[in-house]
Amino acid sequence: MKFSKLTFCLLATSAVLSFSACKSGLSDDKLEEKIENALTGRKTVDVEVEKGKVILSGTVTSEEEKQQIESIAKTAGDKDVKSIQNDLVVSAPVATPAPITVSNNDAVLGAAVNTFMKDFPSVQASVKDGVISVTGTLEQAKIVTLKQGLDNLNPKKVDLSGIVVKK
Amino acid sequence: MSLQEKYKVLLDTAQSSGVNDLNYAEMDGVLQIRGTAPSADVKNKLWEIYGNIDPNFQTGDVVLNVDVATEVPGSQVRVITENSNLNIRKGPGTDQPIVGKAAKGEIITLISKANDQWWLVRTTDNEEGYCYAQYLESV
Repeated sequence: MKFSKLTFCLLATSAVLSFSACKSGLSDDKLEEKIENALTGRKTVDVEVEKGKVILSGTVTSEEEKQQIESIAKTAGDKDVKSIQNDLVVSAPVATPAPITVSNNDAVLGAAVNTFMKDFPSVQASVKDGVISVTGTLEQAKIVTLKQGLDNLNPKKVDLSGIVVKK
Repeated sequence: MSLQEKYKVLLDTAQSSGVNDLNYAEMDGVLQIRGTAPSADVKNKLWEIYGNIDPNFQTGDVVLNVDVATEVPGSQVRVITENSNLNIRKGPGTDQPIVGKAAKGEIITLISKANDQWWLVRTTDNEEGYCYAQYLESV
């Protein structure tokens, strides 16, 4: 008995609600649902509706996107939208840096080192376990070029302690 | 002293001068640093600081691999060889035939990057081919 009473109450309430919704266009909840549907996939955007006033909050990646979402909400809600309060915050996307990789293939690294070392005939390089060791004599001005080139190959380590530096 | 403390000035400068995707980690006793500098000037500045902390890079406790954001396809790059001409080759590798040369200081166009070492370029004489990226710097 209790159950049927409750069902009746719910039915009655929803009848009243839908009646009032008909009278003044869509209810806030329906309007909110409609706008949310139009913004499907925009997980960072939140929609609230209060007496026909649409409040947009959350984050977007650009000013254009902010305006775009406002116009989507306006179009979706059409004449049921009394006003729009655009509280969307523009923030740059957070880029997750690529993980650091270190060369673990001596054959590949060795070949790249040999190619690069052709420009440094006064020194010799060898590769073992991802570590590049260089020996010989080199002018100081060239050391930074050598180190930059070798570091670009992502070795485990560059050992220049065997180089005699000429001033 | 940890390596991150030893190279604190270098890491702080990288952060404050707008190096993108900055990432560093100590691996096998070596501080590995990666990132993309907003300009060649910033990259050079970082190398200067690194050289001040570890003169002539004798300790070998850092691998600093920072490239430059402005060195993108379509951009102009300057040839920065010591004094010789830069060879332009048919393909990416020193075993490839030389198809042209670019003079030191010449400004050429970066077309694409075959990999970190070999970039496809075009000279003002419309010579097209691959050259070693180490000798190119964004303008």
